[in-house]
Amino acid sequence: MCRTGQDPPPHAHQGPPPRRGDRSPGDTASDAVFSALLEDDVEELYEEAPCGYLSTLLDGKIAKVNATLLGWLGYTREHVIGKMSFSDLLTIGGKLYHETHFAPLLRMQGEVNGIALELKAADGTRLPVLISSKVKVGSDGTPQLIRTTVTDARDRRAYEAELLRRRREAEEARREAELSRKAEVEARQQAERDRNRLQGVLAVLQRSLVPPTLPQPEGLEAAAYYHTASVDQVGGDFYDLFPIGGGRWCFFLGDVCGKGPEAAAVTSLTRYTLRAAAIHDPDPVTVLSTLNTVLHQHYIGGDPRYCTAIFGTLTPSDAGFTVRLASGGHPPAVLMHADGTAEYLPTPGGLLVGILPNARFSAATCELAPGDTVVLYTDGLTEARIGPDGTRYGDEALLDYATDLAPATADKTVGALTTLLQSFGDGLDDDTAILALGIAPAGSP
Amino acid sequence: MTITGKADGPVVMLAHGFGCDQNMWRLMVPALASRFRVVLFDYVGSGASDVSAWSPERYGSLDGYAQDVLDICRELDLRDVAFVGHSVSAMTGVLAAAQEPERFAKLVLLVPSPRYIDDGDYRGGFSAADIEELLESLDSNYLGWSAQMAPVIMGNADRPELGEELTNSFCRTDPDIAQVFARATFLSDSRRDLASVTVPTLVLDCTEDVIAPREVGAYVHAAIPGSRLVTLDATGHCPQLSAPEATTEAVIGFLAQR
Amino acid sequence: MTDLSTTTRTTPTGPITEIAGDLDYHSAVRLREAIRAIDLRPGETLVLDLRGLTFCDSSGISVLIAAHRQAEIAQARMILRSVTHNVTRVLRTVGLDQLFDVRDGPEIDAPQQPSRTDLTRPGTRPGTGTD
Repeated sequence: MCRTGQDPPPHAHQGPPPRRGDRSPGDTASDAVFSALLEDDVEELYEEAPCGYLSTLLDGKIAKVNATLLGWLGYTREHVIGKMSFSDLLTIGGKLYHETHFAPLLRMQGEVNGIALELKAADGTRLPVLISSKVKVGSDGTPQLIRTTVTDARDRRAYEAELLRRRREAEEARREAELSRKAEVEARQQAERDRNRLQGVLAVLQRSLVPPTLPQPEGLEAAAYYHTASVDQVGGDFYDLFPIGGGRWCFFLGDVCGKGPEAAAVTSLTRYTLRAAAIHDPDPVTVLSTLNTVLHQHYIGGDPRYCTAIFGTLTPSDAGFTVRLASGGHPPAVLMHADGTAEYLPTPGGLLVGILPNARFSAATCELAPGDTVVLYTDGLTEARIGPDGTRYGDEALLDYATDLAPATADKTVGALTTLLQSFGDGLDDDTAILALGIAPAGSP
Repeated sequence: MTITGKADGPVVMLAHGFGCDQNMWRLMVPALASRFRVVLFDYVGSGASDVSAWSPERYGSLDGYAQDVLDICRELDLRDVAFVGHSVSAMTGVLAAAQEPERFAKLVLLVPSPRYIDDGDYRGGFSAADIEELLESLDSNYLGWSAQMAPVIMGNADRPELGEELTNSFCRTDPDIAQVFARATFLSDSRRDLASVTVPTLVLDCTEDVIAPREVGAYVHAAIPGSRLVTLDATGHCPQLSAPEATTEAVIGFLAQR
Repeated sequence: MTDLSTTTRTTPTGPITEIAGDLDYHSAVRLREAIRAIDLRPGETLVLDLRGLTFCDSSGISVLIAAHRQAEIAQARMILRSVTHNVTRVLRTVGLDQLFDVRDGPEIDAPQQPSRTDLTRPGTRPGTGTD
């Protein structure tokens, strides 16, 4: 880089500068002669140096300029000397920088080195340069003028521009990567929101398949529990308890084969069919037969859908209530007696509902006396896995459990079975519904 | 932020202009400190400020900078502040004083310009093309101030650093932040805000200033009711460095008036 | 829990599929696909050998019903062979012991009297054994 006049004069000798005393006088003399031959004209050296020279007064007016710089800019000496200021040679940004940085720094330190600016040539083209300036101070210490060297920085600027371009490209790539990462996160969050919304819808749908609150019939105790195996799928279990007048009540509990929205649609159809049929004629076999006809007709030609269900009526009797129920392919109800015994209430021969046009359903009858409780459940309970080898809970275990539990009120029974279901943990992978109906033990309020 | 000088003295707040920092005031501070409590600060994004607090939205207009001024006033619970704003900061002070006039006792507008671009009869000193070129050159990182950053960009310094430690930190600006500040500064038009100034105001301009020419100083003086205008015998846009004594004298003289 | 496995071999009277393991909601789809892939000709008998079937829930029942319908549509028939006690009890619960042809032992590969129960024709009484 070209330096200001403070630099030592250019020396032809390639080695270190000669020092007095370590060389022979002859060497020094021949060096001097040699350099004098090459640079015998200081004025020519100033004018034709490979960098621009510029001297300005303290107010910025140009006092002296070399031919190199004039050549670069395309100005004549007359045009510049005493007429133009240094800042007139600068672009607008350069002027601003000169005012706010360059000039203050120069004032503060007496010199400024290697500042990148652009000069405006006479024809309007821009010349990227590096500027170094130094204040010349008089013998009394007052600043007199500013000497400036101007180095052509086109190549360097092109190189910097290339570096900047590469950096921008790298930043752009980084930004794009960041954007795509954000988009990915956004998509995941959207999926999560969709899933939550769907789960919300499914939960509402699921709740619509069972009564919002279980009624408490006069003289009876009723309790129910629904275990949802998956928040992502609607199960097909259902139950209900409703009055049909004259102190009589109907109840049902069942399980539509399959899962998901189609199963939920069948469940809904099943539930309303059972309620409507019960109003017409509450006889359990008749009600299940009506449901059978509806389900079978509904799915002729389509994917067959069927369910298992127990439907029953509760009629007040001298002892308490007479239970009459019928089963269509459903696991038998458990009857828990006040005396601490328990038994299955067999309903043999009842076929899956909806599978055949004319299915046979068998009825069973029993008396509910004070302290007695009848329990209906879906097969999620008995088919829960209870061991690492996949052993199922099973009918026998349930009967043993009920025997241990009896006598128990409907509330206590459902509470105990809920605890039992929870104890299965991951072994319980199906929806499970439980409905218990009982009469309070004698002497209780 | 730097607080110096006479702790119980009247408050003077010094606000630097575009591309600078509080070092700009270094030659004036000693004289002011003997009489005033001097509050110096760097706008967010400038000097040694916390760059993480910077956002292009807030600092995309001069209001964001005025907000910085008011934030400091609130934080220090400053009242009766004599605000000295250099260059674009003169307008920042005008905006801040319009918003919360009760905090400000006096305004000193040092080489102010409410509008840099010529507009009809108004002479701002720059053509629209000038400013466009300026912003473009900032965008292309081609100017000296970003060239200061060039050694950083290139990973190692292949040319001598600017000598002293002060020089290294002097008015160093992040190029991206400088672009936003430059747009906020040079595209701003605060002419309408001048009339809203209600506090006593001194306008200082210089005999020779390519950025805020004397016509602009006269315009500001005329637009602010009851303002005073003093032209400093100084060249350039930074009289606080080129003529610190004269500038300080003018400021103190104005602040001493009742 | 035992993973479900199925093996189908062809005999002169029709295909015999041995089903072993647990048939539940998770494995039912696989058995359904396996049976759907069986090419049944009119008059043939599809034998489902269930001696290795350790568990069958309502999903499994659905597959057996689908297999029964598939046989009907192909004018073939379906026999359940060597049904374990557990599975028999499930079939009884859902009443399918009345509908399906359930046999013990391997000697019924070529039944003399085919049992036919039409699931689609109204009025058909479900039953076991021969017509």
